[in-house]
Amino acid sequence: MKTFFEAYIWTLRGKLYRMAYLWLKDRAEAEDVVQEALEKAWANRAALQKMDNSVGWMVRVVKNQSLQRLRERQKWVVVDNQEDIVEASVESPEESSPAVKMVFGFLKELPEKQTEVFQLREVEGLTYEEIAEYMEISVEQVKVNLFRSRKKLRSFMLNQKK
Amino acid sequence: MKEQIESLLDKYYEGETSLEEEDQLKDLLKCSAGFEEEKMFFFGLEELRSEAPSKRPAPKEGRNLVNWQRSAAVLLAILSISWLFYREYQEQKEEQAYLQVVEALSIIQDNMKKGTSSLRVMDDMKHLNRTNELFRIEKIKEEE
Repeated sequence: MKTFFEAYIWTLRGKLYRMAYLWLKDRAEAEDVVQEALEKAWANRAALQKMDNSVGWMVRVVKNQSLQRLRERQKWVVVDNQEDIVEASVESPEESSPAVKMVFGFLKELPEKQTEVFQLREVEGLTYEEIAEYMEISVEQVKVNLFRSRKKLRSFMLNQKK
Repeated sequence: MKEQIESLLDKYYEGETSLEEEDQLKDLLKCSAGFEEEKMFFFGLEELRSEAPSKRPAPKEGRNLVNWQRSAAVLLAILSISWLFYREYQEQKEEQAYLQVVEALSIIQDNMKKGTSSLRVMDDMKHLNRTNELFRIEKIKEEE
């Protein structure tokens, strides 16, 4: 029989890795971040099991660690807020295909929350309710952020066609 | 098909499509001409979806020690190390005592040698009660 950790936390590994990869654009670093988050979760597994939203907790840990790494990577850059950190960091990995570079190019134009909602919907294929749980926000906020990101995608596509 | 794609795309950009409709849109795009940018973008998303971390086994409860086991292991390690140090100290003490005895014995031996050599002059004294042998006193007396 699978334990709580195996059934509910370990199974998030792929999704968490892709989230970290989209923030960091580096596979090795993304893997490190996810591993650290899972080790933290393993150490706190008893408390995690009692939480209402353990998934949200995991996503928050991965996101904070990713942003922390971005800060460390660019501590020589003066930034005003968290969104600037994300924007300043976005550059697709060199080995990426033109299609992936196109996605990264679009994500670069989105603010942090819209990037997260967009990625969870488009890459992970999650429902609004699941995204709300992952991001610890309301379903309404998910819909608003997704609507805004897709509106931007439409104009991005029009620019690509020009 | 083109109209269907366009209608689904409109709905998609308005954020009104369900997950099923989004899958349908992606399938339709794959088998239709045109919409190159959209095709490329959705292909990029698909590529990102295939990104995966390296395989690792999930940690198991049994493989990890619980807190009291960890404390016991640490205590055992400390006791073992202390015992080893204590034994080493005892051995050193014994060796030191042995060396002291050896040194004392060697001093005694030296002193004994000195004593024996100083007594060597007494060796000649043994002839003192043998004057008869040395000088044949009896024979001398007879001759007189």
